[in-house]
Amino acid sequence: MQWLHQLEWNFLVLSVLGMAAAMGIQMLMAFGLSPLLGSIETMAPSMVVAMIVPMLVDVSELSGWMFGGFDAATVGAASGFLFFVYLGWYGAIFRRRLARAWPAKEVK
Amino acid sequence: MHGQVLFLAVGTGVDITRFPAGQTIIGIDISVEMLRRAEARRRAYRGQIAFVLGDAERLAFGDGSFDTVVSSCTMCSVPHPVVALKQLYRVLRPGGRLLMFEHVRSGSWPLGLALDVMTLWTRLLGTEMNRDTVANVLTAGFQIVRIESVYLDIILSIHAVKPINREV
Repeated sequence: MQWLHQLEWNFLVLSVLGMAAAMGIQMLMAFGLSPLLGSIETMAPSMVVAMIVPMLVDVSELSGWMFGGFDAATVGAASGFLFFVYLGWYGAIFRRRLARAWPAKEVK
Repeated sequence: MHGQVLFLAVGTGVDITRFPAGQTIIGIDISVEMLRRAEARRRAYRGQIAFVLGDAERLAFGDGSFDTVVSSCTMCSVPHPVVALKQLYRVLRPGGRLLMFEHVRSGSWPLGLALDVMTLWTRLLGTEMNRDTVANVLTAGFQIVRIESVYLDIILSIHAVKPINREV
């Protein structure tokens, strides 16, 4: 998306094209890696990062804070790490909720 | 898994390698090609498996024919999941078990949104990644016994039963 932004086209066009390109690449990666990961669902978190980070970069550039390729990559890496932390927290919360809703028992 | 088992949507049969030995299973799939691909795994299974060409939404089995129904990543691809689940309910005997391994929409808004967006693409390949399968299981009349998280709240192992004293 950063590369597309450097074309200096209309902001909305760049946003839509950039998002589509980022998601397309993510989807290809998901299908490519799915035999290793076991499923493409495990790519959903990186899809989130692929959607949000390009928008952050675009909005920042719209407000006058210009990003270079290295800056954009840094923001992407930081966002990925933060989302990784969020997933750990969310997963723990969800498992706790499950344990409360369906306490372990076996049907005879 | 016990008694007469219905295995819904055989696919390539990769799940068969994980089934406990010695079961009596009927596996169905809507695709002849998939059943053909699964044939080697069927032969390798140490138990009895028969394959039947069939549609999950129109099961050609009598009411209460099975003790256990097993599905793996199926409800994302069935056009009308509640219709299929009601068919599973019908062919299970009262007290019979429904064992599912399914991926569903996440309750987390960023993850749910990502799955909604991914579905725009994956739908073209025949799979929906944002279904509320737990709600669909309940709608079909099952009682949920246990849900286990395999991956966050996206990939779930769902264990449900057909109530003994209730019909939909």
